[in-house]
Amino acid sequence: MNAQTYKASAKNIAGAPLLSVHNLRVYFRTRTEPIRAVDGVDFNVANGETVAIVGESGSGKSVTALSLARLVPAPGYYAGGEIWFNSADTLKLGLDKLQKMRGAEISYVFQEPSSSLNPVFTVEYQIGEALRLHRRGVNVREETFRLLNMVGIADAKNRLRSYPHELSGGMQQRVMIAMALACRPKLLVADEPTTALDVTVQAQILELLARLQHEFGMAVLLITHNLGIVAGMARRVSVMYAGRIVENGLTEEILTAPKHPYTRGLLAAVPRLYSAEKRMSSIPGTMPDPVSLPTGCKFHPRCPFAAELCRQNEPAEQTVSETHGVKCHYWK
Amino acid sequence: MSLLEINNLRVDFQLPRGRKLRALNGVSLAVAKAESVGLVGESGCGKSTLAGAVLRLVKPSGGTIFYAGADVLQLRGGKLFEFHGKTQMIFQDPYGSLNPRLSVGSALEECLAVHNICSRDERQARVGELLRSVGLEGRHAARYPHEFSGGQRQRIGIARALAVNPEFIIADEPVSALDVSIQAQILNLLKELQEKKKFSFLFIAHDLAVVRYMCARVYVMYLGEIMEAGATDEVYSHPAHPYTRALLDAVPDIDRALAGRGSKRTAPEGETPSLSAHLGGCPFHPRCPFVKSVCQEHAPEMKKVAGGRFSRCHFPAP
Repeated sequence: MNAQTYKASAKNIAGAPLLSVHNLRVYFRTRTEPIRAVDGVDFNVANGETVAIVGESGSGKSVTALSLARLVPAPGYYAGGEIWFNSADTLKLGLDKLQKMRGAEISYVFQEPSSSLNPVFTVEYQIGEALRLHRRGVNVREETFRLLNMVGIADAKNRLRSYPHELSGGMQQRVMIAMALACRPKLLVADEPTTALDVTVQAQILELLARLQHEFGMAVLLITHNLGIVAGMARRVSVMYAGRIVENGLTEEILTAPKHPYTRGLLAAVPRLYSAEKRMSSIPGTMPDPVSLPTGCKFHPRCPFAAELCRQNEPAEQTVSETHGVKCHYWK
Repeated sequence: MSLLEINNLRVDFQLPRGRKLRALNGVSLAVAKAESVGLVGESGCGKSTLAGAVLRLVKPSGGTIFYAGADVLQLRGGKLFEFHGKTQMIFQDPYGSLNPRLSVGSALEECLAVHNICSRDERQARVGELLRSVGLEGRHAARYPHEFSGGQRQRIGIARALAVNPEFIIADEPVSALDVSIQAQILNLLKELQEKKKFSFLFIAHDLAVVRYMCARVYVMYLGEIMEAGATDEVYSHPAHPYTRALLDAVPDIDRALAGRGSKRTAPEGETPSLSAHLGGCPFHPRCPFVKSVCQEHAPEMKKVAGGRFSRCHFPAP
């Protein structure tokens, strides 16, 4: 199985979505105005599907990811919206139900495995924690051993007793994946899972994720800044900017026929491995300060096509095709 | 003739209990005047150690470095000071490499003063010029590093490197900490400056696409050795060394992913072994899909292969 070309087959994707996020707003309290990190985000993920959220730092993609299991830390709070997962609104669940869901039905792999693993416990103990919590009665040692083999850790028997610092970054990330998959979740949220890794190890981890997803039929929400990874892994993609999804659609649509000026700028700014481009275009300016966002379309100060309408009104989502939506007044 | 010529350079780091870690193992590399040369490799391969050795920040244990015909490793006193005035470095983390207590203007003025670039009265004007040349404004001189975004800080790092009008600049992962849209801005700026000021450029990065954009010639490094060298286009389209091929195959590239569905590329097995492991033979042999017994016993020499490239492999791809 090849990570760079693997896509979940469409036949797995039918019926009501596994995850459906409506108008999600996550704000952070400050002494004055709240910071609107996520401000009206809609997307859904079907069973077995890989969906990517792509954006630059500060776009709100990680906060979106964390809110799915209500993990946003204070002073963050959920200012509105709904997160339907498994036919229940996660934002309204009681704590006991939430605890049952976390790690068992929805689990996470984060960017920095060395800071996500606890340095004072062994690999076996940490993977076993989820098993003891959610899968009572299972033989923890046997199951942990099986999980380590599954994620491609050589010499799994001895690795059970290893501490995180004895493992390389790639191996630590494999342990994180074993932990995340210990309870066979329906949704795996992978937040920049390979950003801290070298490129050859990155390819291994992506291959592993694609293989495991195929085997378990789980859905994957991939949070990344890397459009190359999106191209190889995701069936659909949402592009985030300043707390909003500005464009969404099938990966092919977004990468070959982007409509939003930000998506177009982002694609033009990625250096390609095989192209004779003499000059790359870049997006002028920087991401706006979330404390004082511009009026109207949040991208207008950096947009080459900005007009008066863009400064005044924030664009609503417009339909490009059945699967492709864009928030731009002038996408045509 | 090359401006910088490195021959058979070795750097050893002393480890506890008398052990040694060979960070660079016989590296040879040349940069011509006004040339832009790339150096790619994964973490721990010795890219930054090489940069340090060239600028006399790390002490080599063998080999030679010649700069404009002078033996860099023998430079002392005034000559070394002069050399440091001609060679500059741009670092990965612009925040870590700027003094938080110095305003940007005073940091730049310090460079001008130390290397006596212009008279005291001209300094302020020169600082303004420098800031404008990297896309900032003269009024930014009064601000402190924390008041800038990551991209702007990297512009300041570039302005500082340019302050002494260097002939030679080493950039060590100058854009890897930046977002894509900002990365393109900084790459274009560096490219324009290099074309305008014609300094020689050693561009160190782990991102192969970035190196392709910036450099006509490239060196590929693995475990302290150069594995392959040549024109970037040649090396990328016909990699001679299995490591180069593995590295190129591993890059998640948009065009390839969209075009090449179903193509057979698999990630190389295993991970980079520790430098202190002292493998025999070719450093890549434990991960190489084409490994033969000779690879485990004898380290291959750098050999000329087709297309004017050089490859350190017993069985280079044609």
